[in-house]
Amino acid sequence: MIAKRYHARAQGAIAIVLLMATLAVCTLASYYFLVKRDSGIPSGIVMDENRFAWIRAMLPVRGTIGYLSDTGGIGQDPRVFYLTQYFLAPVVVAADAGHRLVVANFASRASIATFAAANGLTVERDFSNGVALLRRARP
Amino acid sequence: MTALWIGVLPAAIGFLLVRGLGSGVRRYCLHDLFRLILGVGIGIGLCSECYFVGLVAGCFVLLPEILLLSAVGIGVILHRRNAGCCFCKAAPPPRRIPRLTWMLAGALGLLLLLDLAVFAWVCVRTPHGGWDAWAIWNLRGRFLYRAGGTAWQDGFTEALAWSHPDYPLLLPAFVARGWKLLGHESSSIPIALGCFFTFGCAGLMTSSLGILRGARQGTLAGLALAATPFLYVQGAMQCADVPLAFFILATLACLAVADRFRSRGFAAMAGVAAALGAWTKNEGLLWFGAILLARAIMTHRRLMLSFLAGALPVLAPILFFKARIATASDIFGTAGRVGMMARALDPARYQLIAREALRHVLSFGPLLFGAFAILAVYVAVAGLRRDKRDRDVLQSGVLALSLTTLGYGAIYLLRPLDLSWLLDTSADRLLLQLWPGMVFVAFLACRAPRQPRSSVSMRTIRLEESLVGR
Repeated sequence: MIAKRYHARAQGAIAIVLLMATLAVCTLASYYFLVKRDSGIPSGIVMDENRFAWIRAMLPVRGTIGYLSDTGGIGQDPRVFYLTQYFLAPVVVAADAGHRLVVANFASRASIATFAAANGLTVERDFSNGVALLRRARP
Repeated sequence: MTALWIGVLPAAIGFLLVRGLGSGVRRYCLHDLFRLILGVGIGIGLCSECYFVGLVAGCFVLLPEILLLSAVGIGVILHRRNAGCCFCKAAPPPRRIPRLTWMLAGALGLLLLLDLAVFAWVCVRTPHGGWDAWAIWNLRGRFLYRAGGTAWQDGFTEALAWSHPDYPLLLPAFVARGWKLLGHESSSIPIALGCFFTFGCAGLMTSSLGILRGARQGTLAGLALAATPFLYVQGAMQCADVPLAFFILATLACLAVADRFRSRGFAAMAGVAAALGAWTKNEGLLWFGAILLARAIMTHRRLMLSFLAGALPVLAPILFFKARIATASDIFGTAGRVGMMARALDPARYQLIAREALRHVLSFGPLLFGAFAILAVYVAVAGLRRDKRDRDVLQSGVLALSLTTLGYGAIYLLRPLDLSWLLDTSADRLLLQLWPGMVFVAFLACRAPRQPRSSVSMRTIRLEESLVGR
């Protein structure tokens, strides 16, 4: 019916847009199946944020604190560092440990005290989930 | 009630502003859909600026937008005597919509439903958005919301240089405003914001081209935009490139309407939209400069005063932010200037940019053939029409989009970061910023598919198209 009523250019133009729409349906469907197959974690950062709830309550309302981690600093593992800042805002988290208060975000809880001592810090509070508040021994 | 304030206040400000500046009938007409979508986008941008002004002034943060709403409301009441829809006057809505248009509208609806399903699915998986959303926009929103007094300015320090404290604040300020009204942080605010701008692009495209070129061409253009999966995934990731794409499209749509109907009001709205692009991302500043220059060259500064009158009040807070709050950008700051000349003269960087740009253009969509290639084939098949009424906006639009593309190339060339990584992580999003604008220009420029009358020859149809423009 359309072929009878519309000239060739019009039919071609409509066909191209409909082809585009069909390809989009295929892409969206394949995207859905690929992502569903490759990753089962719904969202990493929401679960992570709860680890920082206790330390947030202990931090001052504003200011800058340091950062220490066993997964490397901003250069080696920027995601973990950026997420720490995201969770602790509006306190500014500096990329180094040279501050009076320092947040420790560790993959292995056992090494917090060792790392802290090596940086001239003492453990103020260990939250038993890889997160700890450290304090500089001699400011 | 609170949720109502979060959404209704921006919608009321924007819609009334568009009805006041652009033409509007006393009651409502079908063209109010275009005014509503445009108005909500503009209202969101203006409320975001009002929140920022409230923070800087240290006053009740809703005071500036209540004052703005009052001013816009008074403007509409004063304008009521001359109320009338210029779109309705120019072309009354058709009595009967052809079956093909209904079929295309049905296809558009189904595709948008699928897009919405994918959007919702991505949002459930990543409620905090993608990397840029939480590391830049929502992080800044947290600083604006959580910090009391003047402490929100702590979020704009060199220690946070990795999170780009020089980026403008449309998204963070609006998200913080929503949280403030809600009384707590909720990912529903940035998700709703992303949802509006993502689907608003398709709505604005369809409704604006529906006015300018007829319902069928508008629906086809909406279909082309709805058939871009990358837009909907990135929208759900809450990235700022989608709102910028909306404002680039809004600038072009308002300019097209302003040129066609000789409307100073819509030229002013184009200025507001272009300036709000600059409040969304730094690339928006580039777009603002590009469209200003393109209009100056191509239109002999016609409607330029109205454009600037709309833009300047929106630009004022942006200039204040850039001068007093934001840190130096990584390109033009002290660190960025080191080795800039060497980077600008390095032929390997030019080659890499050209090669990667071509690769991303060919794979954009992502569709089997690349969306840009499909659009080019569409233009070739449909053919360009000759219509003097749209000449200014088409010429200035193409020039502005080209200048912006060249500007992106220059930023890649000069930015002191690993170029391969930079191109790999951002080229698709930069293309996304321009994509709705390009689709708009293409569908405005091309012939619309129409039924030839049995007794009329093809030559007559072409002659009619060149005269009438439909």
